[in-house]
Amino acid sequence: MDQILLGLSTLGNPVVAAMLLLGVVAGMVVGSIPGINDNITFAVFIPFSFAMPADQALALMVGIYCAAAVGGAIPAIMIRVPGTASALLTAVDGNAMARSGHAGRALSIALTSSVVGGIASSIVLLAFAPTLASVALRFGYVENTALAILGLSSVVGLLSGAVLKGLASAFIGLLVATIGFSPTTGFPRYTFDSIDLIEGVPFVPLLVGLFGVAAMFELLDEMHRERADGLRATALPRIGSMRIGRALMRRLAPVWALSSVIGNLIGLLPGAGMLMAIFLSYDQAARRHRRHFAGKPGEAAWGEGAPEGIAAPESANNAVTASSMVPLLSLGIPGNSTSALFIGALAIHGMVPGPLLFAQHADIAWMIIVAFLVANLVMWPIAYLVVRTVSRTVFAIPKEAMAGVIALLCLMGAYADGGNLFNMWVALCAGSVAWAMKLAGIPLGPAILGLVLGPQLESSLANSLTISGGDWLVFLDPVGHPISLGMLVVSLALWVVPPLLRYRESRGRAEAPSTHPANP
Amino acid sequence: MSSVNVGASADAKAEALAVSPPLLPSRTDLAAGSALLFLGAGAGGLASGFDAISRTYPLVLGVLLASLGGVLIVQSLIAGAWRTNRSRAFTHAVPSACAIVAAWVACLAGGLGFVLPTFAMQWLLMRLGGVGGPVRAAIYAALVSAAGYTLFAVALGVRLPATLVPWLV
Repeated sequence: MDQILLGLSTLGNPVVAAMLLLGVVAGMVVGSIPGINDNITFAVFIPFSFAMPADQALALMVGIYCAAAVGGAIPAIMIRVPGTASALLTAVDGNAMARSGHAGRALSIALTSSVVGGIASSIVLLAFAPTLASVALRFGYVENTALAILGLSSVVGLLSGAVLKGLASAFIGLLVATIGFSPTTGFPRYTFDSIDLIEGVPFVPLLVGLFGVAAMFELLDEMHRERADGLRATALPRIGSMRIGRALMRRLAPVWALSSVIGNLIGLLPGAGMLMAIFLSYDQAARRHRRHFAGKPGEAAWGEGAPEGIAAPESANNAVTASSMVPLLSLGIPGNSTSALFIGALAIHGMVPGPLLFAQHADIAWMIIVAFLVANLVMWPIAYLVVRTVSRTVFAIPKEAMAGVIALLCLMGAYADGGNLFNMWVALCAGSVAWAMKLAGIPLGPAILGLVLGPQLESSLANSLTISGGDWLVFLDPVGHPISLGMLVVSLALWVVPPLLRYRESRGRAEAPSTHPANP
Repeated sequence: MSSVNVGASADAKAEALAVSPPLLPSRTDLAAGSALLFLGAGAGGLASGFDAISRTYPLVLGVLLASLGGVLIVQSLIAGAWRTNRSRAFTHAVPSACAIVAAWVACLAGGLGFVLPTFAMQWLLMRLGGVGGPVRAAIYAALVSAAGYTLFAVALGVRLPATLVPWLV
C-alpha cells in the first residue's frame, strides 16, 4: 500500500499528471492517424522526453503507450483503415456497424472495451510486477544467465514455422549487442576504430531506426502499391449517439472478461505480441456469437456489425498493454515490441528495467504502475472528446505526407540524443536492416530481445563461469541453483514442445485420409 | 459528409496477418541464408582477432549465425528454392527514400545548414509518397520543415548541426 501511495504521490505532481494526460491525448490523436502504428507513435515521442525530468517523461510515455492502441480503433471503425495493427479486426465489425448508422455505438463499444481491458491489465501489473521483481532481486549471475536464455527462448518458441529465422534474428541482436567495450576485459570489439561505437551502438537511435524509419519505408512501399492498385473513396459515417444500453453491457461482459484474461496471459509472455491476443480473443468471441446470437432476428451476422467482434479485439489489445510491462519492469524482458521501446525511454534517463528499478528508483517504478491505471481511468472521457472534436481533422491529414513527417521526427529525434550526426546514420542503417529483414521474412522481435538481453547474458555467463571455475553444470545444479534449473527446463520446453506438437499435427493430418471411409 | 481516401482494406491486412508464415523456402530464403552466412562468418573472423577472453562469446555467436545461414541455404537448395520466387514485386520507393534521407544527412554533415536540405528532403519524400503537384508538395514540405525547425531548434533547444552558411540556418 505504501508503494502505491509513493507512486500516487509522484503522479500527484501537477506537471507529471499533466504529462500523463498530454500523453493520452497525443497517443490517441496520433494513433488515430491511419498508417501510424503504436510503435511509430512511441518511437517519435521518445526523443522529446530528453529535456524532461524522468517522472514527467515516463508519465508522458505511459499515456502514449496506453492511448495509441485505443486511438487506432477510431479510423478502423470510421473508415475501415486500422490506425494501428491492434485495431485490425476491430475494422471488420466496427466499420460494418458504423455503416449501418451506429458509428457512435461502435466507437463506444470499442472505447469501453479498451478501458475494461486496460484496467484489468493495470491491476495485473500492480499485482505481479513488484512481486516478481522482489523474487528476481535474489537472482545471482547464474539465475540471470538462465533468465536471459528464458527470455530469448520464449520468443523463439512462439515463432511457429519460422524458428530458424527467429533464431537467426536473435543471434543478430546478440551480436550487435557485443559491439563496443567487452564487459569483462574492456577490449573494443567491432568498433572499426570509431569513437562513436566504443560504448556500443547508441540504443535510442537504434530503436528509432528499427521501428520508426522502417515503418516510414513500409508506409512508402504500401502507398506505391496502393497507387498501382487504385484508390477508392468512402464517405465518413455520421457518429450519432455514443450511448450503449445496460442490456448490451450485460451481453458484452463475458466477452470483456474472457478477452481481458487472454490479453493478460499473452501480455505476460515475453515476445508473444498483441496480435496473438487479438486473434485468440476474436476467435473466442466468434464462437460465443455463433452459439448465442447467430441467426436470431435483428442480430447482425459475424463480420457484419456484431458487437462482440468489436469488444473482443479491443479489450484484448488493451489488456496486453500493461501486462506486457510485467516482464519488462520486473525482469527486464520486454513483453512486446512497443514495451521494448519503453526500455529506450528509461535508458534516456539512466534507468535499467528489471528488479533493480524497484530498489533504486521505487518512486518512478511505482509511478509507472499507477500511471497505467490512471491513464485507463481517464481514457474514456478523453477518447470521447477526441472523437467529437479532432477525429475528422485527423482523417483529413494526407497519408502521402506522413512519410516525410515520420522521417524528420525520427531522424532529428535520433540526432537530438547527444547532438551527434552519427546517430542519424545508425537510425537509417537500422531502418534499412529492419526493412531487409522484413523482406527476407526474418522476424524483428527476437533481434530486439537479443539487443536488450545480450549484455546481461554475456556478463552473467562470464561471471557465472568464473565463480564456478568454468563448470557449465552450475546452471543445472538442483540444490544450489534450482531457479536456474527450472528456467532452463522451461526454456527447453519452449524449444521442444512446438515442433513436437506440429509433428503430431502433421502426422494426424497424414493419417486422417486413410481412416476416412471415402478414402480407404 | 467529407470523404477520405482509403488505401489497403482491413480485410487484406487481416488476411495477410492471419496466414501463417510460409514454410516452403524460396529464392529470398536462399539470399537470406547467404547473407546470414556471410555476416556470421565475418563476425566470427573479426572476433578471432580479439583477446582470448573477449573473443569466445562473439566468436560462438558468429559461428552459430553462419551455421544457421548454411542450414537455410541447404534447406532452400534441397527444396529447389531457386525455382520459386515468393517475394513481392519490387518497388523503387524504399531504395529511393533511403537515398534521399542519406543525402539529407550528408548535406547536414557537410555544413549546408538545416533549412534548405530539410526542405529538399521533404519535397522529394512528399513527391515519392504521392503528394500530387510540385507546388502542393512544396507547400507541405515548407510547412513540415518549419514545424520541425520550431519543434527541435526553438522548443526543445536542440543544437542543429554546424553550418557553413549561417545566414541560411
